[in-house]
Amino acid sequence: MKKTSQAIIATLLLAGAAFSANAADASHTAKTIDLTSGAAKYTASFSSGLASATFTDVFNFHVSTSSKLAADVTSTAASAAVGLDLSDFAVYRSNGTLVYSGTQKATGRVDNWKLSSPSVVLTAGDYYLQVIGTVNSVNAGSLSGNIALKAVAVPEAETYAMLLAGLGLVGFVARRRKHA
Amino acid sequence: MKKYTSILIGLVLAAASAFASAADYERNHNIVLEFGATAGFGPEQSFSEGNLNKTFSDLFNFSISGQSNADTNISSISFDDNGGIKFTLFDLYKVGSSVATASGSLDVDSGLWFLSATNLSAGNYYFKVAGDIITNDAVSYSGNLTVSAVPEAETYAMLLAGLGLVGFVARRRKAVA
Repeated sequence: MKKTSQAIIATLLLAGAAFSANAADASHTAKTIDLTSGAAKYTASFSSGLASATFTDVFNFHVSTSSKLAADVTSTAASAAVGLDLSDFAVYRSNGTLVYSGTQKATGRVDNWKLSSPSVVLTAGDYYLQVIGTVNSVNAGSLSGNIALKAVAVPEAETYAMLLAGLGLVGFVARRRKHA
Repeated sequence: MKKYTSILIGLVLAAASAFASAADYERNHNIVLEFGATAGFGPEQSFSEGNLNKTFSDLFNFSISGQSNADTNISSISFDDNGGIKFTLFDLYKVGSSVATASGSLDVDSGLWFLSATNLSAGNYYFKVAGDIITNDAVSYSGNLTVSAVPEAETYAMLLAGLGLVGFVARRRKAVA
């Protein structure tokens, strides 16, 4: 009898340890951001009762022409002990290649990350923003962010061909005038 | 005749002031608190390119079911170093009241606007967010709101009454024994 109860206790302890080692996953299924107007907001909410659950949320978006990207993500709560803790913010190509990572601007009661790299141009294609974080307490929490694209002028092959043709014409005329 | 002229002037002035105060974008949205406690919110439509110097004044309605504290922020992102949106107002109103319940303010360090309100009674509320668009690029803003329940006075009274009752019973038992 004693042995049985000991075994039960041991099993319970092991189960408890395994449970605490694998914090629950509170990730949402990927959402898609509509960027037809060039800028958009995005949000995600986490229910109560998810204390110490972690999440990796993905927000897909499409770039139709070479563009620069600016994005942010913020979460505000009553105190640092509740709400969300945002630990990473980055933009990836749809194939999972990291384009670049954001920088943390605030942490604690307010978590704020920004993604803005003036030199990085996203070529046309599919991308996603990834937000990684933890739900700090049993209280519900939410995050919100903004994303904007700004098209950059990259001359296309035809433009260069037109330039060359124009130069050639000018050269030809100049040459003719000289002969005349 | 003079009277009519002054009325006319008055009307023209009133119309002019109404015109001056109207924002280019005035929108009204509902915030649905998920799990009764939290939500991300923002205008349905972001601002597309070419809105430099336009103004906006948006309302976001929500309701709370019991006495609560509310914590919220709004943020924007832009390619310009000086920002894309310059918020000028972030206020919380209870529906039916012309006086703001709480006002948000700019935190200079983070560039974010915050608003916290404590001990809000159950009812319908709205945020008023106004600002100027200071970029010609497309830009959006968004915020998040978290509402946490505060026990009401009656709840504490009930707790005290319960404790008192337990104490009384314990005392009686001791006396009997």
